[in-house]
Amino acid sequence: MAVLKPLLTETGAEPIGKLVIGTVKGDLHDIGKNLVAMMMEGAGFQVVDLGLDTQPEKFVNAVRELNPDLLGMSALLTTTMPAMGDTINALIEAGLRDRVKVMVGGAPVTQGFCDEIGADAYSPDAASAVDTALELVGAPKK
Amino acid sequence: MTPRESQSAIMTRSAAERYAERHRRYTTALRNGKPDRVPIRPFVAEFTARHAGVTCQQVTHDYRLAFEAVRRTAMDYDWDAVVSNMVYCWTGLTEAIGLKYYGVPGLHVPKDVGFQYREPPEEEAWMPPEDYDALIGDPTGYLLNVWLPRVSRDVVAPGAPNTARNNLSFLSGGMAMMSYFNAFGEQNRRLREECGVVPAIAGILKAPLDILADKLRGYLGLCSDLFERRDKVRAACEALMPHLFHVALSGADPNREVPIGFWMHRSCVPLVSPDDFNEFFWPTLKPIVLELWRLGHQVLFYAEGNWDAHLETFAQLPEGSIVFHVDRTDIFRAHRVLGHKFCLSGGVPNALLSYGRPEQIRARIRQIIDGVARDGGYIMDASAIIMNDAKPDNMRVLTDFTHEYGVY
Ligand code: B12
Repeated sequence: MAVLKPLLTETGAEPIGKLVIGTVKGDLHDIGKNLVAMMMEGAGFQVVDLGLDTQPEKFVNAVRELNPDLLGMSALLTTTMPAMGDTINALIEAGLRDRVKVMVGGAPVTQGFCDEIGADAYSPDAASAVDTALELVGAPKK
Repeated sequence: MTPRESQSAIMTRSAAERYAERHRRYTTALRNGKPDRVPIRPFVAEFTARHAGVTCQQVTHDYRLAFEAVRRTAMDYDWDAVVSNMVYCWTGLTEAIGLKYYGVPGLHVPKDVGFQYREPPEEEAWMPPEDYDALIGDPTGYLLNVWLPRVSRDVVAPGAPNTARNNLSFLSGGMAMMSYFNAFGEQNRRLREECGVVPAIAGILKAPLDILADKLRGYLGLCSDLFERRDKVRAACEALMPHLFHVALSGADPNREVPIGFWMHRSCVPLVSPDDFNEFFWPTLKPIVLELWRLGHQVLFYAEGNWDAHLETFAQLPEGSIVFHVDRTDIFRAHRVLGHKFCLSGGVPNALLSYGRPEQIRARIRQIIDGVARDGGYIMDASAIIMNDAKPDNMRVLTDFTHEYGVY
C-alpha cells in the first residue's frame, strides 16, 4: 500500500473535496477503512484519517475544525455498529449535522441500517464508495 | 431406587435420548445427508453470557461460569450442537503467562465487551522480517524460544538472565493450561449427558499463510513480504505445515464424528489476491486437509469473509471431507459449486440477529432453506460468531422458525 500511495495520490490537482474518516469507537478493524481512504485519495479527495477506536466527540471535533464535505465511518463488528448512530446524534447535538454528508460502511453494515441511523450513504466496497462520494460532492463520476 | 434416583434416571434417559436424536440429526447433515429436520448449531460466543445474565468479564475470568452459560443457553434454546466454549480466552491462563495480545474484559476493555485479540502495529510485529530463517529452520522451536517470550510479559528468552517471574509463569501457566484444557473433557461430557447436546467441533486448524499473518507478521507485514520476500513466505508456510497438522490432529475427535474447526481469517479477496491464494495458501493447506481426511477427520471450513473466488478450488476436495461455513460468500453459489459434495452451514447475517425484525429473519431462513437445504446437507447458523449484541428474541425466532420450516 505504501508503495502504491504516491502513484495513486500525486496528481498535483486541487482536491475535489475533503473527507474525514475513521473506524468507530470500540472497533479495531481498519484494513477496509484504510482501503477506502486510499481509493478516495486516489480519486482526488483530501483525506484526514482519524484512525481506529474513534470516539463520537473526536468525529464531532474534526467536523467542527476541519469542515470536511464528507464524514466516513467504518465498523466491522455488529457490537460497534451502534456507535455510528451515536456519532450522528452527537453531530446533531453539536449543530453540525447539516454541514457534512455522512457515509457509512464495513462488512456488517447495510443500506437499511444506514437509513435507520440517518446517514446519507452506504457503500459495500471501496470502489463504489468513491462513486458515491463523487456523487455526494457533485463531482462527475470517473 | 428412591424416588429421587428414579427421577434422575428418567431425566438422564431422556437426555440420552435427546442426545441420540440430535447427534443423528447433526452428523447426518455433516455428511451431506438429509436428517429429520435442519439441525441448529449456532456459534454462540458472548451471547451465552447475555443469556445467563452475567458479564463478559465474568465468563472470561471464570471458565466454569462460561461453560455453564453455554450449557444453559444450548438447553434453553433447544439447539442440536454448540461449541463447548467460544469465549475461549480465560483470564487465568492469559494472566498466568502475562500474555500481551488479549484485551481482557474488566482489565483492558470494559467489562461488558468481549475479549479481543489486539494486533500490534506493523513495526512492532511479533515476528520481524529478519526472523524468517529462524522460523523456517525450526518452527516449533521458534515459537517456544523466540515468539513466546515476545508475546509474554513474564517469559524470558533462552540465554537471558532467569527471573522468578519466568519460573512462575511456566509453573502457573502449565497448571492453568492443564486445569482449563482438562475441564473441556468434563464440559463435553456434561453437554452430552446432562443437556443432550452435541459438542459441535473438536480440535483447531489454521492455514500456514493465515497463522503467518495472524500471530507472527501481522496483516500489513505479510503484505510487504508478499512483495519483498515471496520465497521466504513460501518456505515459512511449508515449514509450518507439520506443526499445524499436528495441532489439528491432537485435538481431533477420536470417534471421528464431529469436524475439526478450521478458522479462515485472512486469505480471501481482497485481503489476499487470487494469485497469492493459489501460490501460497492452497498448496500449503490442501495436503493437511487431505491427510486429515485420510485419517478419517472432516474439517469445518469456517470461511470468514467472502470466498466466492475460491469455491471451485474447494470443490476439488474429496466428497464429504469438509463442511463449508458461509459468512459473506454467496450461499446459493456455494450450494451450486459445493453442495453436491459437501454440507454447508451459516449464512444468516449477524446484523439481522442484532438489529433485524423477526419477519426479516424468517424471510432469510426461508430463502436459505428453500435455496440450499432442500436435499439436506445444511446446518443452521449465523454468518459469524454471535456476540452479546444479538437479541434474545431474534435468536428465538431463528430457532423456532428453523424448527418449523426446516422439517423434511
Ligand atoms: C482482520 C480481522 C481482524 C483483525 C483486525 C486487524 C485490522 N488492523 O483491521 C484483528 C485480529 C485485530 C481482529 C480482531 C477482532 N475481531 Co475481527 N476480523 C477480521 C477479519 C478476518 C477481516 C476483516 C477485514 O479486514 N476485511 C477486509 C476488508 C477489506 O473488508 P471490509 O473491512 O469489509 O471493508 C470493505 C467494505 O466493508 C467497505 N468499507 C469498510 N469501511 C468502510 C467505511 C466507509 C465509509 C465506506 C463507504 C465503506 C467501507 O470497503 C472496504 C473495501 O472494499 C473479519 C472476518 C472477515 N474475513 O471478514 C473478522 C471479524 C470482523 N472479526 C470478528 C471478531 C469477533 C473480532 C474480535 C472480537 C475477535 C476476538 N475475540 O479477539 C476482535 C475485536 C477487536 C475489536 N475491538 O475490533 C468477527 C465479527 C463478528 C460479529 N458478530 O460482528 C468477524 C466477522 C470474524 C468472524 N467471522 O467471527 N479482527
